[in-house]
Amino acid sequence: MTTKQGRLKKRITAVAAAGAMALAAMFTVGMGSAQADDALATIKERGTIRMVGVSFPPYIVAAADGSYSGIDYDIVKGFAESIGVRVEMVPGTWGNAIAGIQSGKWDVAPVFCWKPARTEVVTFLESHYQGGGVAAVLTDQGPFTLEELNSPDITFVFPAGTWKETHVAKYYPKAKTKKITSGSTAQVTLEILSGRGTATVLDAPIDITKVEAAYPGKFTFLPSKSERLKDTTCVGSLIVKRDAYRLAASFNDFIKKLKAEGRVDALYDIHIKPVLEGKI
Amino acid sequence: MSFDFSAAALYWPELLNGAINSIKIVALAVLLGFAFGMLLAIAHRSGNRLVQGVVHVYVEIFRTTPALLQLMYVYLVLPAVAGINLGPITAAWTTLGLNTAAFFSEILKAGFQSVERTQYNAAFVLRLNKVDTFRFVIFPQLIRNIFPPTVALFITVIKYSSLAAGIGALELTRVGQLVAVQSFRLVEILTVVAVIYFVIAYPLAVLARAYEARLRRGMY
Repeated sequence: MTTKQGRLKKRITAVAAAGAMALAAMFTVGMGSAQADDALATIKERGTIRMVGVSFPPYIVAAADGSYSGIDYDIVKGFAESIGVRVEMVPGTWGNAIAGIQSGKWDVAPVFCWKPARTEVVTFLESHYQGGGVAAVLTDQGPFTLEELNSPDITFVFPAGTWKETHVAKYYPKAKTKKITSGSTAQVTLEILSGRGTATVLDAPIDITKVEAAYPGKFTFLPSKSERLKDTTCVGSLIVKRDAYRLAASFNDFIKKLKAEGRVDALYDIHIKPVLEGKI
Repeated sequence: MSFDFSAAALYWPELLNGAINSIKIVALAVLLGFAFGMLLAIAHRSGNRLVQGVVHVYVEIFRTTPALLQLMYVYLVLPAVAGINLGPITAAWTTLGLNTAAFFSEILKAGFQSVERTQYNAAFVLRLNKVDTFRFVIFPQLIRNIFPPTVALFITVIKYSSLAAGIGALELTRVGQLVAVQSFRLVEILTVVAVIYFVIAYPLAVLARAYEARLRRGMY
């Protein structure tokens, strides 16, 4: 073996050893964080409950000026007040919302649909989600029935990893699909208007109103504007860290109380009505 | 499809604020990157094998991993592994600064290597001390050689600042995304955002070209 080869071998061995040590360190940290912690006590000590700032109107609305509002924001704010702390919004994206919960970057994330894989890594709180779905198809390519959407001539566009993906796979298995990562409704509808898709599934009723306002008459909604697709109301709720048992219990008590007092319905009225009435 | 740019006018204050945040991220990242990059280059020239090894590992880690991943690591992983919890703007300029330092140190290294050994010898023969050798002999040649790649790096930092949208920092791209979601005017808003980036970066490219031409004229 030449000296040059020997040096190269040494260098590769050193890099491999460093990589192995880094992995070992990661596993050690992982084991540490898996131990039971008391997120509720930490929040009280810190004086703030950290919520990830994403956007999913009307549940959480991230304005471009950095302010937040929405149903979930109000619920978290109410809970924060009930335990004597305030809400601290931490900017983030849907793509890293769960990762941020795991790493402790934030304590709570807005409404996520319940999925078995997600329950492995986070705790779902008491459900308060009341949304549902409608299919939206380009008016000038129809008229369609829901049955006709299950065809290879139809391309569904939707954000990857959402309940929309599960719904399309279950009810329209013959249709082609186009998944968009971190796609907003604005992006999805633009994909369809650009000719790269035929249909999508939207959150009702907010998205219907917004799409109608942006592109009047361009889309037809199935089964209709006032009816919902089958199996589209997900069991959705706020999420917290997997082992934050005391925080989850305290939060659940608060949400149950809100529901019993009709205050969740009131929040829906506050945040959805203005959009439906075209005031926002 | 009709285009309506009035949404951009409506959200102009937010877009402007996003642009200011982008400029902040770039300015601080470049300051940190150039200062730390210079330190790395000096450390590499120290001749100490251990120091050189540490610099080499640092540079290679930052050069061979994606900047977005580095950003997510600093923003999301550091709180868990080191208890360091940075805000999105701070995480953005810190990460981009550390990334820029790795590239700038390599530019400097190449710049020093491009000055021929004979130049040092000539300065020695002329009895110039170390400071004067650097000031009158090495630096003028060094600056001419490192200027074009340094400007290119600066412009890359401006473009890389948009990666901060991936961690939710309210910089120009993120604000553009939020405004597009709210207004449903994706094409118009993204066009305006692209124009703002161009307005920020293009004068820099023009100035750099003019200065480079001046430096080249000074050569002869």
